[in-house]
Amino acid sequence: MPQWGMTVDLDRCTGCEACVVACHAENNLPIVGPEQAAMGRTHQWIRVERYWEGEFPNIRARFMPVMCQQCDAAPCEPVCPVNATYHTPDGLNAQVYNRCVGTRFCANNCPYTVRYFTWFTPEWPSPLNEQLNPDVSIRTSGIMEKCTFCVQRIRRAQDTARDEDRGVGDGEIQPACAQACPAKVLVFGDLSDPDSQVSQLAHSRRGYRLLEELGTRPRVVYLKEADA
Amino acid sequence: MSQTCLVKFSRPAEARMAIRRLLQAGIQPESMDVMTSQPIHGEPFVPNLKPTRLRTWALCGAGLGLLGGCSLATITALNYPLVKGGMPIVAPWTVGLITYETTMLGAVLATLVGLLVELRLPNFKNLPYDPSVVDGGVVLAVSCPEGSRASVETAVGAAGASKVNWVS
Amino acid sequence: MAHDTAPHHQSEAQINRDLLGPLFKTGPKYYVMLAILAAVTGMVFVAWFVQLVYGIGMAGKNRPSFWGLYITTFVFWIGISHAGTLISAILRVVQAEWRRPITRCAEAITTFALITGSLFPLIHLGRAWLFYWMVPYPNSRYLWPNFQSPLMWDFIAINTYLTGSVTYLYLPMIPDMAVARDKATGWRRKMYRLLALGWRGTEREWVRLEKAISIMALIIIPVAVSVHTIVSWDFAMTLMPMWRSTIFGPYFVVGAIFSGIAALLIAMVLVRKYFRLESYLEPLHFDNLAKMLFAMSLLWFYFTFTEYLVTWYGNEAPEMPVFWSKISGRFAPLFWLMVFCNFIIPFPILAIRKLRTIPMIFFASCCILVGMWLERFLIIVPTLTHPFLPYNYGTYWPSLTEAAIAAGTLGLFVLLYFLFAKFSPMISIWEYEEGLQVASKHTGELAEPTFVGQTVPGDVHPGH
Repeated sequence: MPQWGMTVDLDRCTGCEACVVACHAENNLPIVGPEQAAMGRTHQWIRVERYWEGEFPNIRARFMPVMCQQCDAAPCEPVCPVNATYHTPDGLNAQVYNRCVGTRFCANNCPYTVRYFTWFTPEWPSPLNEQLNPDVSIRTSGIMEKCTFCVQRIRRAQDTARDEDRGVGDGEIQPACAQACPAKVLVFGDLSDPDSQVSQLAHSRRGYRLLEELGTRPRVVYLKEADA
Repeated sequence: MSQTCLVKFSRPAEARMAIRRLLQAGIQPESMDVMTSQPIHGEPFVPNLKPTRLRTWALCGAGLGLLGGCSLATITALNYPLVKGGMPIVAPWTVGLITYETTMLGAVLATLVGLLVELRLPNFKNLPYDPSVVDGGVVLAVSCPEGSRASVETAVGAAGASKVNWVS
Repeated sequence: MAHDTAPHHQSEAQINRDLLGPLFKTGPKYYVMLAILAAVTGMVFVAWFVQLVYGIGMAGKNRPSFWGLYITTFVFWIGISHAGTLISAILRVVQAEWRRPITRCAEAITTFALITGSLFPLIHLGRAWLFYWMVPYPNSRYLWPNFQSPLMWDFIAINTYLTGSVTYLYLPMIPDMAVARDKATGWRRKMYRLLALGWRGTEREWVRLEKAISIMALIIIPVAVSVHTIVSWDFAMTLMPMWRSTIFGPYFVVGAIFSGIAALLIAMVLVRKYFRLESYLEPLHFDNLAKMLFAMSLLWFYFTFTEYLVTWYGNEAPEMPVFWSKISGRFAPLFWLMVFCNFIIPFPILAIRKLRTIPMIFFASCCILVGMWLERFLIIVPTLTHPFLPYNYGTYWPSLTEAAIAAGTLGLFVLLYFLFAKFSPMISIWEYEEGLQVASKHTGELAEPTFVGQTVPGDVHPGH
């Protein structure tokens, strides 16, 4: 059983947000409009957090792409009253859209604030609806969503591999963010395979996990910047 | 053929005296019923009052609630074994919480049902009743066989009945 | 304090007239108030309908403030519901005689506050029409609710408490329904006949009714404590800064009893004034409840102070922004208003006997209700707007729809109470009469309990 994970190399990240755009396109994220965005209701399953460090003229910008950490001890999972979120055997934190009734308790319990709620049913006026990804369902209002490690791509690769009677190769599955990143910041793969690139990177001495002290056991390993 | 009369007294002491006399006259305790607008403290009016078993009802209800809640939380969780947050499928804490609430719910419902069953309520048949009792006083309902009518009237009259009403 | 009954004896007939009067006679002022309340309640449902049609986005919530006014008001109403049952049940268990005129008002508050509060878990759902998925019913889609979720515990606990409090309200009402049945005419008579269940007041019935009520009182106290503890665990079971606090269980229960007593006092003052029950709800009752309110105010302050002191001393990085936003930051005006309303204003009013008059108690109770609502708000929103990762800090403003629904539920609660007051005597007739019986026994005037208002040879103070 593969155990999916990801590493994020902060030394390479330039903050270009190509990953954000790619995720929007791949997962049919709604564009909420300027008023709703001002209210704080944007959807960014992966977002690039930017922190300024230091005083002028010694200012640095630090970029941190944050997506659902697919925690092994996810605090969002036990609190859903209708079992709309649970942990799959291959290590993903699953969100079941059609089961969600919208209590938003899971979003309150996520320390990374990576869960996003659809406040109004999105519309894609023609011809924008032509760009929607048929592999990903549209979420109507009242449903919680978040990064799924592009589970549709994972399942497709697994199905193809099964049809061809082979295992899934390392690097064969690329979530949209990893695929789009020009600096190869995001590496995705099977953490249980010691030969995979993600496994090797996860054991790097620069590696740490976000908010590790909370005990959520996230599956995303961040690689510190070299001079940090 | 038994007849029933409703006797009105203005004080509980008078009613107690009447009941003593009626018992001496041979009327059975089961044929007497005392109605008041508030619970009267002190000795029971009519002897041999059956004790109530409401506490048993409540405990049985609590037991049923306990079993029900425990099985609901445990068995159904095992039937739908979803891993959530690394927590065990059946967590004693959460099962305990649910069980506690269902135990209390069982006790509440059993008390209510037990009360209605023991009192045989709701009962809309025309049982002997004098509506003036809500304004004060004690009403004694006596059922007696046909021939004892006179002795009943003597007994209650001697105790100070303010009104005697034969209803059947 | 001995209840000096001799000069205040009302006859039973008088008591029945006084307490049943409002059931049978209604003035124009009542209808005007009723119309206003119905309009406010209608506004709630219209606003809710708008929200259902257009989407939950009509509320002002956002990311990261996923909860706002609805959950605040939910916790507020569930807190108020602790008035009745706790006061009525605890006072019954310790056999405090002065509870007798208060119990009906209190139990009614509990039931209606619970009904009003339980609307909010429906209102705040994103897809409210699927609320029944939280009910464990057999289905063919392999679906089941999650009993590990505090919201499910909420669901079960609040339903248990609602069942218990409706039972606890109804059982002592049965003899009063019988009195109303015997005095009513027309359609009212039929209604009360149904509700009285054929009650006659026989000895068997009284013994069993009192036993059932005392069993219920013993059950309802732990249920009430558990309900608000479980509601507090909606927050305490999370990881969020200043929510992950073990003190929340007792803190919320204390806050609930606090706001509950305040609501009860307000209801009692209004019932006393508008139904002219001055000889039944005496200054003694307000005084005793005000002293209890004072004790709860001190307790509330103690818990709040502990919570904030421990947070400040711990100086944990995720918690300090939340802390400072409340003490001196964006939420500081609301925070200090809350302290003012919950502690600084009530303290002198409730502590100093001269100030503990009925109008001042009413004022203090209104302040406390405002303060307690603010307390719930300040528990929820500052934490949510300051999550762990600072990039995600946000702000929260309620929307018009949201505020209309939340504020309008006050109208719904008062409407339910209003209708109830026309339907049942607001003071339990038989309990009150029983109290006079007990009191006259204790004053030692008479060797045997007697009915009030009865002239007994040698009785120095005849009744009316």
